[in-house]
Amino acid sequence: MSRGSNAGFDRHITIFSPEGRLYQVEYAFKAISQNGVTSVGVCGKDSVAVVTQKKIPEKLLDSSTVTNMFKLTPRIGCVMTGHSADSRSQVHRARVEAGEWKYKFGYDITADVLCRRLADISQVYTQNAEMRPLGCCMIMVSVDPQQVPVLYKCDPAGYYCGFRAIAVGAKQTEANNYLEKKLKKKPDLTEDRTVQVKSTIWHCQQMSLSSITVKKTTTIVLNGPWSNSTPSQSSGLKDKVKGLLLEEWVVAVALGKELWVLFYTAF
Amino acid sequence: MATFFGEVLSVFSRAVEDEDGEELVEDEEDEQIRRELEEKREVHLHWNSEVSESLQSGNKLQCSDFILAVGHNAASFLSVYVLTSSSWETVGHVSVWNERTKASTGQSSKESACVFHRNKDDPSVLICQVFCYIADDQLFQWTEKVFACLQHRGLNVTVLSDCSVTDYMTADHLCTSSAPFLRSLHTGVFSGRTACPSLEQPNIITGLSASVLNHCQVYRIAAVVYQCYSDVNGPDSVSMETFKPALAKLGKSIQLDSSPSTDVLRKSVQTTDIKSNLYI
Repeated sequence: MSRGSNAGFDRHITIFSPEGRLYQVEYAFKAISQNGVTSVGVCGKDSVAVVTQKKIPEKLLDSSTVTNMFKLTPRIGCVMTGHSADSRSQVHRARVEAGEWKYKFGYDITADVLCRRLADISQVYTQNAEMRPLGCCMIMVSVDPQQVPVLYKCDPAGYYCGFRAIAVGAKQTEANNYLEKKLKKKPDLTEDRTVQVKSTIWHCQQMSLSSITVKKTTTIVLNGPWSNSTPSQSSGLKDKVKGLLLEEWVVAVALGKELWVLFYTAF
Repeated sequence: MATFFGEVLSVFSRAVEDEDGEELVEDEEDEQIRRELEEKREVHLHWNSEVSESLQSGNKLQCSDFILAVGHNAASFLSVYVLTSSSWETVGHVSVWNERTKASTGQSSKESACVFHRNKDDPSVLICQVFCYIADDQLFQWTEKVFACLQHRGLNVTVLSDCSVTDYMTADHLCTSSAPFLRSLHTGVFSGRTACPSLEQPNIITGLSASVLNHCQVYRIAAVVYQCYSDVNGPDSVSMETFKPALAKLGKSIQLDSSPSTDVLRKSVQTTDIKSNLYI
């Protein structure tokens, strides 16, 4: 099978090809889009939101046990796109890192540091022959009392960066293009606007003939007062969102000063 | 779910609770973005002056052979083996934009992404090279607009396209070691013999080749698609050579250059842009 300018072994493990490429890492990126899911994250000036798709492959499956959104620390959450087993492995590692940091230093790790740590770990996988890169991509969201809300993405190449808005997955090109246009017009997103990430998802559905058919979509409107809600009001929030939410979407919203991760699952 | 052919497809449950949900109320900004994107995604044909005059006066292009090359290997094969002779002139191009058409180092302008060439000595032979990606929603437009300019009587269509051998499904795994190889599919009215075996079930052809083949089947035009399954992702000279037998049948109208210039070959196998931030 080995043709071209290489002897073929650089496709099996992570060593450079003669052109200076790492084929295995490139293939890891393709693995992220394999299951056809797209995730979108948008960061505003006082809140950050991520939305992802949930695939329910069988009717017998208990959909409430399926999720690809995870909480890493009280202030940091993430959405994983790609292989679900690799995703869980990365989430577990992230939680371990966060726990060790808290133990060593006595305060919670911040999102940028955690993301850098995971990116460093992913980089090792692109060098070690014994470990393959993970076929998943993490979008991390966080709010911190002393800092603005942040949105980070960490990919199998070990590259990480903060974003104002990002899409990952099967339809990422189309979604990123749409997000660029959207952010050009309104560069400073307030809370209710961050949740207009739904329009990006809807646009992607219209644009593509993807394997999921979503019959309708709804506006998720979250207004100002909820940013200061106490946990007792969270059930009210859930009901409101439930009434509006589209089947198959799981939404996590970081509001105000605390991270609330709403695992709303529509089935 | 197992299909009729025995392949296993993963399908997703569409069990939904049909509540009375609100219809999406889009704000103006989203509508405007959507409209702009739709306009940008329109497929436009641009012909040279001679051809557009003839089309405007109601005469379609008189064409007996239309060769369409979809994908980098197929299109470069034509560039290297056929279009190097001086008897070919560019008669038009299609401007098509979607989110995946970023300007790469290979293509300097939009015009070179989808070009029509005609043989000066034999104007009934038309070649089209498609280097760019054409999105699902643009396939129908492209096919309709292009075929609206060609007269259908006596038209023979040959489509060359690329595919990765990882998409090739076969019970005999050893046959993929002979990659690259050709497989063909043709319309009902195609009467000639194909240069390679037919594409076996459950493999299918997708994309622009499928759209064109479909159109030809509906309008009863003789068409054949030659799909090259290659084990190398990206432009590759060995895969390009595989297309030679496909055009051998058209030997009268198309002269294949037996010793292509290495310069042209080298340019055509330059690595296209890598779609990841791995090398940032």
